[in-house]
This record gives sequence, C-alpha cells and structure tokens, in this order.
Amino acid sequence: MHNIDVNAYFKPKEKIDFMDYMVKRIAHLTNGTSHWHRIGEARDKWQWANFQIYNPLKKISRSDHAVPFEDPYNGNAPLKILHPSPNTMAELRYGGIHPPVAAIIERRLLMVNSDGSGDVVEAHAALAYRQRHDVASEYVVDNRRAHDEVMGALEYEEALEWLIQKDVPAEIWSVKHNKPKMAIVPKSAIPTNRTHRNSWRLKDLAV
Amino acid sequence: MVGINTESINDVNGNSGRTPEQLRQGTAKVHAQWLDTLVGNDEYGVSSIVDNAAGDFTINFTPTMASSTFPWSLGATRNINTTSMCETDVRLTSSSLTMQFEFTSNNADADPDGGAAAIVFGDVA
Repeated sequence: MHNIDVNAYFKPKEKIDFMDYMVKRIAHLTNGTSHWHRIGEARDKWQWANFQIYNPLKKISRSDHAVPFEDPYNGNAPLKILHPSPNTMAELRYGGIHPPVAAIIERRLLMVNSDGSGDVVEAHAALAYRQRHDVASEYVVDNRRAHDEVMGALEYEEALEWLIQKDVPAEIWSVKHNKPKMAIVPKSAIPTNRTHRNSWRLKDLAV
Repeated sequence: MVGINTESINDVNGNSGRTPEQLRQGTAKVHAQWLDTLVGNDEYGVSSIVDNAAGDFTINFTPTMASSTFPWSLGATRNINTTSMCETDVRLTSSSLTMQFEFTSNNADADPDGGAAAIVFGDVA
C-alpha cells in the first residue's frame, strides 16, 4: 500500500471538499446506506426479482445481449466483447440499489503518476488520462453521489444502456464516429469457437 | 434497514472475538468465476466482464474500490489437475481488474481459454 498524502494533490480550482467526502462516506458505511451495502442487500432482492420479473414462464432472460466494441486508442487491437452480468441486470430491473450512471462516471479520481505528479479527473476521463501518463495508482476522492442517489427500476433497454455507459469507454459512446465502433448484438451472435478469437471483427458480429 | 448492532462476535466460550470491522475487512468485495460462458456462473459485485482478446479479460466492478491498490487473487477452475494458469499481466484500476493469462495443459482436450476465478478484497469507496 502506498503512503500518499491525498490532500497535497488538491488544487483550489478543483473545489473538492475531501473531508466532507470522507465524513459522508464513513456515515454511509456506518449507517449501512452506502452503495456497497445496497449491493449486499441486493442478493436477496434480485433473487426475489428473478422470481417475479424473470419468471421462466415469461421467457424473459436477464441478459440476452452482448456489446462488441473497438478499442478507442488502438484500431488494431482485437475486438472487445462486453458481457453484462445477469445479476446486475436483475438489480437494475428491480431498482432501489444502484445510483444513476452519471453518479458513477462523474466520480472524482486522484491519479498519481510514477514521477510523483498527480491530477484529479472524473472517471469517464480516466482512460484517456492513462493513455498520456504512467499512472502508478489511483484513489477515489469523491464518490458522494453514488451513496446519496438511488435509481428506480429500469426497463431492459435502459438497464443495458446504464451498463454500457458505465463499462464501455466514453470515447466510444459519447462521440459520433464515421464508422460504427460499437454494437448491441444477441448473445447468439458471439462465436462459441474461440480458435481465431483475435480475428473477430465488428462487421461480422453485428446483425 | 433492520440490523443487529453489536460490538463483538465470540465463539461459545467467549473467545476469538471478531468485531464487525474485522468481518467487514475480511469480506470479499468482488468475486467472479466463469467456465464456458463469461458471466452467469457465479459472480458478486461484478457489473460486466469484457472479453478483450484471447486470454485477456477485464472484470468491471459494481462497487468502486477506494483505490487501485486492493489485494486480489486469481485462479484456474477448469481441469484443475491438467491445466494451470499463468498470469502474465494484471492491471488494476479502482473499478476494474484486467488480467492477461495463459493456460498450460498436458491434456490436448483441455479448453485453451478454460475457466477462471478472481476475488478482490479491500476498502470500497
């Protein structure tokens, strides 16, 4: 574990009340209202939701789709395939567990580089930061919204959109490209034979 | 929220006390295990798994870890007697764990991508 003085990296323009974040974080952990506690409770909830919403008789699967997307910084890299967690999809459909996706992707991170320099960035910009810097470690310095805000139940498409915005780089879905960089495909479109895994292309999977 | 408030949990003789803090520290924040399909076998605290390339996977966490310096452990779960997993690179962020690994096997029928398991401890943000 690194011994980092987080406060030493804060600049006035960033306007982060780190102490306020720590006090609220401890309060949420003590009261059992943090995002982590809600996920813990979700184990019971999504089993109930699995029975109520995803009743096999209704033939509604918890996660029918996969999301192939390209590496935003390396066009020659193999195609990436995002597989949503069926448990998280059930939690999102149930509601009352996860925060809005903006609360997650706008959380603040302190990126500490190998040369000792550092910057505070929002999570959606962290991948771009890692491309330009040799990041040694990173610390969450403001995650208040994830604990304070809770979302209601989502439809299947909304839940999939939430997962894409959380786990696919913002460079892919927030910018208009001159050729498709991402697709939402049925899981059946993903080859099961992985012999030539690294030669998969988006145009071959998208239907 | 309904809960039990206590300062210590002991055995029947009143020894080996554990405080809630010790229990919380020893609790896995994330675990994932998969065999044939990438998700759906068993996972907890995982929002998605990204298949980056052959033998290269990223586990995205639902809870955010407080830092990227959390402890982790990986293992192979398929053909445990004939296949071993060799990690070549592990990259950590506060919200994901990316692992590149190779399977070695003396069994020609073993699945080259096999199954894998990951578990993560540490403080959540």
